[in-house]
Amino acid sequence: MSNYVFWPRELRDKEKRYESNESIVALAISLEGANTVVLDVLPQELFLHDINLKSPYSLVAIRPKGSNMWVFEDEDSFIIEFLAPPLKSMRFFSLEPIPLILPEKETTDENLLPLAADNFQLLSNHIRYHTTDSRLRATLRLINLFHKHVQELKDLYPTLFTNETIALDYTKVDYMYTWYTSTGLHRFIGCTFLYVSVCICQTAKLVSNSLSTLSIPLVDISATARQIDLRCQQLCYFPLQYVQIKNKISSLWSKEHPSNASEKTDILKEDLPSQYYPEYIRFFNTIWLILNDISFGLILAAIIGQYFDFIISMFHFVVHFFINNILIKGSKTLANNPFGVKLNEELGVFLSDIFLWIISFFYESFIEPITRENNLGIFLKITIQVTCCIGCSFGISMIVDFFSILFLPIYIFYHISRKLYHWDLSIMLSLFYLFCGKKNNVLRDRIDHNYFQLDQMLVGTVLFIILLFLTPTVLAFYVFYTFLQMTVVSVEIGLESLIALINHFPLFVLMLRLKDPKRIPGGISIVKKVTDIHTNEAYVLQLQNSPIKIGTMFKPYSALMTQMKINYFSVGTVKKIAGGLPIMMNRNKLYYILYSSLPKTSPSILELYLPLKDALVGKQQE
Amino acid sequence: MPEEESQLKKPWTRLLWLKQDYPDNYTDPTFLKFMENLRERKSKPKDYILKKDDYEKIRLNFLGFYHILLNTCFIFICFTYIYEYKANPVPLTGCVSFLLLCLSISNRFQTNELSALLNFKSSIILIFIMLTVSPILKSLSKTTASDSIWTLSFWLTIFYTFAIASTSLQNREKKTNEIRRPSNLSTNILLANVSVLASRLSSTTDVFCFLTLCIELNIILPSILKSGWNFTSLTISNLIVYVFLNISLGLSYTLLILAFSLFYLVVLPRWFFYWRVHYHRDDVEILTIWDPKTPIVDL
Repeated sequence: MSNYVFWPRELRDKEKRYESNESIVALAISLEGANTVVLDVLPQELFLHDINLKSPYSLVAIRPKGSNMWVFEDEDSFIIEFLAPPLKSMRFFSLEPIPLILPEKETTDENLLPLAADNFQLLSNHIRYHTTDSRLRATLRLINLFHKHVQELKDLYPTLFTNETIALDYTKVDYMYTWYTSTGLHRFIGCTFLYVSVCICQTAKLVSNSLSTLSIPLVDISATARQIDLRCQQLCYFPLQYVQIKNKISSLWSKEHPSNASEKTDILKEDLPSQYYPEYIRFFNTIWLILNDISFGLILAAIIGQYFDFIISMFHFVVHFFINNILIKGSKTLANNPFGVKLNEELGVFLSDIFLWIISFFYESFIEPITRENNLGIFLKITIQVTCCIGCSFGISMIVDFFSILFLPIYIFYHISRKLYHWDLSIMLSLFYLFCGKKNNVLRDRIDHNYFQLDQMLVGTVLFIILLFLTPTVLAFYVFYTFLQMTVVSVEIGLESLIALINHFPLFVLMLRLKDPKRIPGGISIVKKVTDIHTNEAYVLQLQNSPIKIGTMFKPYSALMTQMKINYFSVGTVKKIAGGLPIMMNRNKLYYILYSSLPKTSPSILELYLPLKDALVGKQQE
Repeated sequence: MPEEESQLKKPWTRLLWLKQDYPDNYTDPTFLKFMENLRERKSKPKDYILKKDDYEKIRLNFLGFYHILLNTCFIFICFTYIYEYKANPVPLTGCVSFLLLCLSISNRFQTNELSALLNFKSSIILIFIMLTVSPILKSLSKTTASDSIWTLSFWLTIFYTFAIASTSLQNREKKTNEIRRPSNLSTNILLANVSVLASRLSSTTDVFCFLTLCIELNIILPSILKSGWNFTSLTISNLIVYVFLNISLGLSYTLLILAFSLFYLVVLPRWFFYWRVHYHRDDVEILTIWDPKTPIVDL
């Protein structure tokens, strides 16, 4: 097995700077469980003095005088070139795509059958099918912290680097920052921020809890409540995210080094960049989305403001047209042989009368008052204010809620007719068994023969015939109201998808993808590259970062779309409609996917306070 | 010794899904006997095998089906009587019910099964149900065209005839001692047919009387006359049917139908017998006795 040596491409230029009459050596770090990574190339004469390199560091190759070729200690060595990611640029190599949602929210594939899953588990646990990429993983971690390791090397052996200008570690900003942190002003501002943010978090947590822990959770009913809940949860999570980012950033950029090799190996076990950068991306994605939301809100508010009167009159007209011409006329038509289909007159008139009464009750009690033009104006003005101040998504969710209140009668009619239809079907099914002289055996869950008494048969058959004759009537009402309900639901789904898009669009990630794809790695690739003629090697392997795929960025959103499709536009839905089962979906389940960048439970005040205090005010000197 | 053993053993049954105390290649003696008979019969001319008895049996079966058809006719006779002639159905229903009551009381001490079918509780329930649903049935198909109802009734009648013929004729062939119960399915089809027709009638009394008459004549009366049919009942029903046909359709139609019936009763059985003798394969019988049984698997 050949030994792979990872060689930074920056060193290629450095090599060229040395004269060819000078022999140079490659200094590398090789930790246990990882491949060798070259840290620097230096003239050989430096090592003629009394310098003995300690364990993790060693000389792996030498370029003798007058030669262009590197001679390795281990003759089987093979070079893989890489571009070392600068420490503060947030680029890194990763085997897996960068997690854009919280790892604990990663949805497992539930489609796998449990039986198949068992067998699959047995197979996948078998040692033969395990790829051992731990070595590559460890090497990538080492490469990710390349500059840190170089810095450590320089600190350990300063004599080797005497004739190099050591880059200035402390810029002016850094000096300013150190000075600032020592003043009392910092403490004051820090404390103010601390108390304000803790207060905000506590309020947000209270609001969020009260919205979701009522006897009927408002979150499941109202889109506005859900939007408020989402924003509150985001607010609660911000400080925690900030603390996590700050802690990791400080440990990553700290100037303290582990002294011996075993500690270095420990560092390799946790991959700091791939833990901290996703958190950073999630944090800023949320902030960007909120800002975006507000700016959209301003645009929307301006548009609504411009066409204020038109929107009100149009809406008034549409609602009244819908109620008078579709709902009331439709219900009346159903009682009088719709499309020439002769329905049962008594039942038809009875049902249509009931629905008409309910419509007139709803119309008198709230539809008419809230759709009066001046009341609509007030509602729209409030919506504009909300949209301006806290964002477009809130405005849209208020409109969604307004719609669902307005179309409450349709929801009720749908459920009444659905229930009737469902009862009708299930009773007819069991009576049909009776008709055939069979009976459902509950104990064995099967249909058995049974001998019925004459009176039982008479009741069953007569009821069956009656229901059979009444089914077309019930079906007509059911079809009509299901159609209306589906129309209303489609409008609501459209608006809610828009809200979801505004709330969870991977904006920041997309921008990063354009600006610097290396910051959002989707895996690595090792490609063959032909090098220049100066070095004698015809070609070398290069380690490259492949950026994350667009599809992966939109994974939560596409999962949401699939869920909606399954719930509303699938064969299963048609079956449910045919069987008279409810097609309402659980909003909680649906939006679970979209809460994927938020933890399940928001942090408690104590969890928040101490770390935040450390981060904002600085650690207490005790 | 072997006799004792066979006494200890449970008799062999032709069920694959039972674990039995017999070897896998066990052949039942009855099967061997049957095969022996079959071979013996095949070696002789067919006229010899099918005796006078067999012809009697065929004729009786044909007669049984004719009787069922006559019984079914009563539904339509009652319906025409009420719907077409707009006669008051109450006296007729009263007469028939009284007759039935007398018959059942005279029979009560003979059979227990009958009383199980027609006990006091269930008759009360029947009457009350019919009283309750009569007004609903009356208005049920108000908006449906009469033609659709006639078509529906036509198909239900055909189903009913075949359902009841297949079950009642089978029962008789097995010569079981138990009372000839109509099957659930045929009774239900009859009830469905009756309630569909009843929905055409104009008043609640009509609907109630029609339902009662049909149930009495088609379900209760045949079970009281448990011996199947005797000469008297057959004559009476024939008389009623043909007189009614004469009144409603006219003499020419009645004669035509009568001719058809006679053809069916006299010529067809002989024809069938001729077919059995000359064209029927005996091998099929092996399937009727040793038919492939379908296991009931408990899932």
